[in-house]
Amino acid sequence: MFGTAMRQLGYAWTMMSGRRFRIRDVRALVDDTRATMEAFGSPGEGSDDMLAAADPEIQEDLTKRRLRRTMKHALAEVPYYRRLGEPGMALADLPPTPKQALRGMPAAFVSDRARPAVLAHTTGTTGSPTLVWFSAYEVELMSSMAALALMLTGGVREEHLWANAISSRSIAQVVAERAVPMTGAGFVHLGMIDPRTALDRLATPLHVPGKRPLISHVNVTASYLAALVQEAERSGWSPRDFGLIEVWSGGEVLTDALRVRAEEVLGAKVFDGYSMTEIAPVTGQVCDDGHLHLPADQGLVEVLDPVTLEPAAPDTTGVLVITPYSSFRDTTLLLRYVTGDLVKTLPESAPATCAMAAIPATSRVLGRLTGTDGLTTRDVLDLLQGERALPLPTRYAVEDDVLFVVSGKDDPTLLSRLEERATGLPIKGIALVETPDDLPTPCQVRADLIEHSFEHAAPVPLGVR
Amino acid sequence: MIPHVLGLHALIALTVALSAWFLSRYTIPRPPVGRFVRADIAVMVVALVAMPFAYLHVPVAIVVSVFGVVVFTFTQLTLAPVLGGRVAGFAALVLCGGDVAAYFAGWSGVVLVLNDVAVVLLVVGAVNLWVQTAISPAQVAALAAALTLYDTLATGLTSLTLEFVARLDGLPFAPVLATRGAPEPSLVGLGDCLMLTLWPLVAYRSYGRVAGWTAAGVDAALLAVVVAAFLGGGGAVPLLTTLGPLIVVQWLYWRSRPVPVPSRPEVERALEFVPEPAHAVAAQGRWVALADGGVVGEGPTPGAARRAARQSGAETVPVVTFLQPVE
Repeated sequence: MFGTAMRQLGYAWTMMSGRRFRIRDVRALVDDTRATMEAFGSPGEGSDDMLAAADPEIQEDLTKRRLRRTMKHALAEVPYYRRLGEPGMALADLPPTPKQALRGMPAAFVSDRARPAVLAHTTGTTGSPTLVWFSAYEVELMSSMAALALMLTGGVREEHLWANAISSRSIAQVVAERAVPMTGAGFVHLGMIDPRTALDRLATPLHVPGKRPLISHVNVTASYLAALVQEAERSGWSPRDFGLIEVWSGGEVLTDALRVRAEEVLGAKVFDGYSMTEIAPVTGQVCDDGHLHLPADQGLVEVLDPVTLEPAAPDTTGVLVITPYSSFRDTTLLLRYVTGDLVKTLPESAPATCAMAAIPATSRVLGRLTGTDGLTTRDVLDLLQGERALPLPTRYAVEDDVLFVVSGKDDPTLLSRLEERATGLPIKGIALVETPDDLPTPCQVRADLIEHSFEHAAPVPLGVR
Repeated sequence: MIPHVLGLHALIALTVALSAWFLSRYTIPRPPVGRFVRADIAVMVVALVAMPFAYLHVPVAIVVSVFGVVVFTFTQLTLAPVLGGRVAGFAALVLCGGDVAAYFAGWSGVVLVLNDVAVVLLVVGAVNLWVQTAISPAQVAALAAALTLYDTLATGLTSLTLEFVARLDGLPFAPVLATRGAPEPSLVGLGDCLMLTLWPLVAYRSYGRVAGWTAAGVDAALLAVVVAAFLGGGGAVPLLTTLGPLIVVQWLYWRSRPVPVPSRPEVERALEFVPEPAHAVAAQGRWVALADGGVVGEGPTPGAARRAARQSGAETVPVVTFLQPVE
């Protein structure tokens, strides 16, 4: 316990100072935590404070210190920022970094001092994938910190089996396949396979020593979750066929309607998270009150007006702009990275009062602007996924303010229901189309990154009945 | 003399019993992360060995102050799960304050009693803290071995312990359990009390009821021998010199007993399954779900077989296996 206490002090000191972590110590802390879980089944008193946000005043001071270091590294070592700024300038004076800049020349964002080891890709559903380099230090640190979070706040234990069904090229996959075994739990490379096969895998008893007989956790994107829900409902799967406890969804907009359906058919609590390869290790979690909480200790989170890129006023829509701190990132350094993900700032009269209130919060991610007049991805998905007759994953397109929706069939009753519920949305009308090919513009979701296998002669068509 | 010695041993028995009772009912707050590891034993041994040497060379007021802080901390720690944090803190304050006040008032009998209460609470708290932070039998044996060496040198071969005890005689927070002070003291050291209490509880937790009661029986027999030796004029007896090896021997005995290999009976039973010839033909090239020695479902995939098992009413999660096509 003396050694653990010393390592905890060291960890806290590094978090406070903004310096580089000693990977060996962080790994030892993970091992200590795992030994604690194996001995007692749960952490001791005060474990919530280990990963919780500090007092706001202390946090502000820490933020300044971490930013200073991050700015110093980026302005001195990263070609893109060296051309843009000069030593000593304030972060706010630096123009936000657009996605296109990173996508266009990833090498310009890699520190001259970096030792690149892993190249991760974004999924590229909005264009070409963005390439992001990471060092061994970053991968090890993020994996260790993820393992700590899984054990201390995620409740992951040695007996659990965690399956990942996300893009194999994302940093989240690289981190999870290291972090989960660190907790003692089993990691299952499920992959984004045909939903029929995925459900079969989730129902297949495994019976290995020390583990539950069935997969207990699965990590998915929202559109792939939608594909699983549709297939499970279509094929008559019951929650009792699975041993799932938790489903973690991220990377896309998750609606309440989809979450409820998934919980019904999979028999597990569905959690909504926010992450992105470019801004790792900054991640967010949605609380029970529907706020997205983004801890301030791994990166600076700004919400800027999407047009002016000035700080968004309370209770308005803004875009998430994130600066990961250099104590966590030493390869691809990003300052004020414009994620493109819209959120709404909380009104001053209604701050968060939930269990995670100490962590800065916004609304859940609204997605992107779709069409005109502020129509967002979430607006459309809330409308469409509230209607169970529509196929999943939801596919739509907006053109000339008309919402085109893949419905699989012409259904006037369904159409009138949708039109009634769409009252108030900035659209002129709704048109049902039969297949995704009938949409005026392609609608790509992450579930389209399906991996082929030899188990089915033809892949199941996604998003059609 | 005899009543004091017997009373002392009754106090030791009470301490062991209280610690066991506490363990069965209360949980000591433990740190968020961390369990007892080898390094902790090393730190403890160094501290236990170094402290008497240090205390002989620093002013007695400092020694008493240090022990006062230790007593206050452990009293609060021990009583907190029973009385609640604030009341426990207040009780610890009353105990420590009373001990000091009785000393300055010259009430040596009260100091003796309050010191005993403090030591009993300290032992109950410390032992429970160690046991509840998963100290292992091997770690207790290592501690016992180290303390055996130390006690033999400090008590048996040199006068270190006697000088230390004489220096603290009659002072508040003296780390001894006593029923009479100088010139004819009847007392046992804090380290002895800790080891006498710790091993039975750890043995019980790790190896079961028989090991726990055996350890307690060995404690009682050893104390009886010590009483006899003491009353026979043997003087100060280095208790740990004997207790330490006895703990190590018990540990070696219990760890040498075969530990059953974990088994997975459902997998074993599934491997023994031989399908009926007719069924083997009917289900060939299909997945079957096996439970309770028979087929409870089948399907074209493992998940489908498991689902069929659930639909047929199977309560447990079956083992699935593929029936090879008959050649």
